[in-house]
Amino acid sequence: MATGQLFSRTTQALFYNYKQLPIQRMLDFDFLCGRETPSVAGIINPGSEGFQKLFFGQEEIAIPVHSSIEASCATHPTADVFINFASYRSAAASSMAALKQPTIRVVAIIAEGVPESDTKQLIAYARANNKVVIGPATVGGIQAGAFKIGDTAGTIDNIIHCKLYRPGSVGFVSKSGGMSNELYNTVARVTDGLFEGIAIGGDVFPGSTLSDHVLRFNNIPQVKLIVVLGELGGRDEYSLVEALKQGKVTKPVVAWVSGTCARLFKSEVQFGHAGAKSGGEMESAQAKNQALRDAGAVVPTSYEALEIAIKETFEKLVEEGKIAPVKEFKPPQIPEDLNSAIKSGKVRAPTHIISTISDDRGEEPCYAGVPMSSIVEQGYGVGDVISLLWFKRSLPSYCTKFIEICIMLCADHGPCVSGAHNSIVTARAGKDLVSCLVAGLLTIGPRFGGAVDDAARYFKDAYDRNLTPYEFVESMKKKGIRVPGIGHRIKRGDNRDKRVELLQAFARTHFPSVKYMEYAVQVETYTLSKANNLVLNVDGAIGTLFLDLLAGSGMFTKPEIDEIVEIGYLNGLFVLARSIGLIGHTFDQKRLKQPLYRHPWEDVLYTK
Amino acid sequence: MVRGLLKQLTFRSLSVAGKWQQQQLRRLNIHEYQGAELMSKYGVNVPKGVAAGSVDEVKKAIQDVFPKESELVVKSQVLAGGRGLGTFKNGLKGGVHIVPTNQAEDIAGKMLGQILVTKQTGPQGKIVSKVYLCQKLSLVNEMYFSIILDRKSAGPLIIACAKGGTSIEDLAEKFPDQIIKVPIDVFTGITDEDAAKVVDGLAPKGADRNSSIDQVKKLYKLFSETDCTLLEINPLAETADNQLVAADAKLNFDDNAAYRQKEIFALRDPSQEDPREVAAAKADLNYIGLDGEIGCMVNGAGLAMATMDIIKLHGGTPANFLDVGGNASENQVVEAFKILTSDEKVKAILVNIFGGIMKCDVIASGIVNAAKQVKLEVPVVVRLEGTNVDQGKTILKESGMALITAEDLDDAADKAVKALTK
Repeated sequence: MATGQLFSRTTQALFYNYKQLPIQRMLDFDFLCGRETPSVAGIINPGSEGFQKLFFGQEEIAIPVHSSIEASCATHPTADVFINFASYRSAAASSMAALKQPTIRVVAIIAEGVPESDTKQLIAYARANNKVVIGPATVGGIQAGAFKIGDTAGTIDNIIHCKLYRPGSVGFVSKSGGMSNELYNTVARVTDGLFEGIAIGGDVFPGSTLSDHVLRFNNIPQVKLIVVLGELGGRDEYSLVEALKQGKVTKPVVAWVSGTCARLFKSEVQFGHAGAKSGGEMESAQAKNQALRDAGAVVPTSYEALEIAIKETFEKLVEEGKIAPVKEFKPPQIPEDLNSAIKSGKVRAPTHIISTISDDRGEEPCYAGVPMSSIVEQGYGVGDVISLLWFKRSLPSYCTKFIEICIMLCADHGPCVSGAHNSIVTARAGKDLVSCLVAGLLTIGPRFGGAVDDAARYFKDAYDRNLTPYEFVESMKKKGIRVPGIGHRIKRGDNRDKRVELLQAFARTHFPSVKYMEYAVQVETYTLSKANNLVLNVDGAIGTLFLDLLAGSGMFTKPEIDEIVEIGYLNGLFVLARSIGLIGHTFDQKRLKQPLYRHPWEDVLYTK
Repeated sequence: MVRGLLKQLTFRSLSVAGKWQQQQLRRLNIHEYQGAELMSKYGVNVPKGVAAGSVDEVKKAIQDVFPKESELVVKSQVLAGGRGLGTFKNGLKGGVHIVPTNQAEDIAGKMLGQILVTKQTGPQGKIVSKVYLCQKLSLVNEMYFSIILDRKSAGPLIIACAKGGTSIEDLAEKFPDQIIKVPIDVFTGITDEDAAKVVDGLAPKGADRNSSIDQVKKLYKLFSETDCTLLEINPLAETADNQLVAADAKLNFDDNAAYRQKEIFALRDPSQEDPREVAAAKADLNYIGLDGEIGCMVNGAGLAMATMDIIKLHGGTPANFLDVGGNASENQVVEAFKILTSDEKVKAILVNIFGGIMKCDVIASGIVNAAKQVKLEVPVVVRLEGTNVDQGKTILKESGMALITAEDLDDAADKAVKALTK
């Protein structure tokens, strides 16, 4: 290992196994440091490709996602750090694959619990090929103001608090990621800040060791002071002792080895490690602290005194003029995420959609304020649901019953009408249900199914303007418009439409007033005098009776009635009803496995 | 996250340092008879033996397996060393007895279901649920053999010595020139040359060289295929009929490999573990029981260690090592409080949290809610540091709970130690 800086302000990483939060934290750190490029060049997510949207400052960026390590390295040849967020089961294999890529120089393994024999292979390969492994079982590391691995140094608040957005003069290495956070705070308090911090991870065999990084720090000119936090157990600190004794470390080292209380416990330990017993004393915190002290490191008497030791050592360097003053700058504000800002009441944002008929946010959905359980428990019907969702009120039961009768009457009118025909043809072309349904629905308009709406409009207009049937029919005739709701292909004055009779009977029994319908009957009387087939048809009956429903129920104001007629509620009723039939025809054709429909030549007049 | 990262760390260092815990933790430890069965599965020669869980089973084993033996070794099976010199709570001295075969039933009856106390079990002892009956071997030569994972060579290392029977440290002192070390390439595995080198180092007196080489290779196969971290055969013995036999073995397995060593890890015997630790493991907490009086709850293994150091510095003794991790859920904090408060030795609790990834206010509400759920009868000292620390402290103060807040780690340890005497 040794050699110098691992990272710079242009270092880019490939991130294995997409994790939104750590990547966003890296990008936020980049923005804080004023980096021009995001530190994550690409994401590797086995089995998926495309992009992940993340924030770089205020802007959204799309980071490419690759399905293999090889592909990502080929696409991003300048990305030389591999951050591995794979699980402990697959971390070793993916790390080895990354180490084998010529473009990858540093592999950081976050997973904790990688089998030791697997880690051994990674270490052996990295050593032979001059690459650096950080971890396993680590949070990673950070170069202040330049590059950060994953979750290192925690939240943005903490990073700002510890001034990690700009480089200082301290190189820090420890096993533990949690203690790194503590020490970053300490370093920020008593020195000009961190230059680089590495957590080597808690495994017995870390990919790189405390002494590896100390020797590297020694080669980095900006690092003036090295802080090491060791732990009882293992012999790594002795490599550092050796390096110190041999004069390989020329910069002041402040060190502390945790675990001094270990000696407190006298009970013998069952441990058959071939070297453990003899090594036991050597590997104690006390012994290591003493050895480091003897080798020339500054070693305090307790962990709490570590802060003072760092402070004094740093101040001495300042007195000696070895520390250049750090250029301070105010880091830019990281825009807060909208969700958390709204949650904390810091911002308000206009909504883009308004809805007044239903609400799905509570325990159960509500239709116009009526919870689903009431709708079911109180035996509401489809008519009631329509009245809630369309009219935003509960209408009297005769009204909802009338709506249901209309839907039943209009649900279908045989296979030959244009809507059903279109649905049938579409179904036979092998299309899906929705295509068949809309193919049929698309025919509904001025010539097909539009009569209900129009009948209501014209009859309402005529009645409200007190036109006599004669004036109404003749004025329409002058305009060249057929009176909608009047006339039938088959039915005659002496052979009324059964559906019309049913509706009229129901309305006369239940409606408080049927004035619009009676007006229509008067109109029909007049038109029948002109031709026997000009009867009031089902469209006219529904249209006018609906006007009676709106006006007679006392549930609607006049402007409301005008609006209902104006924006096409009656057409809605027809569309809803006929959808039932169109779906039926579609299923019918599919069930019958009917082949593609082709209109016969004989049925077409070919002419010039 | 951080919790995950740190989880293993301290266990490892503790295991290696090995001085402050009563027993080895998390590292899977298996019974002697299980080890023997495993070795024999891999073709390693082991003394003939049978495990028995009742007197009837002992009787049957003698009839079926040892009809001609005049003497048998009866070994109580506990996961602790020092069995031979241990004492049962019922008064029986010694956890290992060599007896005439007709007395084996009687002595096994006095061991089974009893609690054996050795210098490694602590005063509470461990229950003996099985005894292991073995043939008594006449050994003509004792050697030492072990395989470890080595830092320097970045791979497995075989250590062998022509002398054996005492600890490797003793051997290293008395016969330093007879100890040989053979590093094995982690990628290619053991070669015939490697194995031959080991056998030459062992220098068996009568055993066939080729079959010895075969035994060494089988031991290595066992080591690598079962994800051992340590395999120590001491003594590796020669019997009067020139057989190489693994007379006593110690096998440690890599907990990290549990996911791919299901069979091995099914051998875990929770009856041999500290119940506090079993509970902690269930809540996914990093816990080691100790003997002191100040219960500790800390996030991060490194900080936990520093906390224990400081407690000691102030004259207290930690009752445990407990790392709730960097992303502890409220539920985990509650479980942690339950484990601490159920420990009779605990006279005060010290909570030391650094809010790096988590925020202090979140942690504080977690502590308060947890403290409300668990009946707290001992003083609790809380030290918070990190993001939103002031809001966190306010939450603690306004909770109405009898929580003692501390300014820094030093202050916290001081207050916890003082709280003991109140």
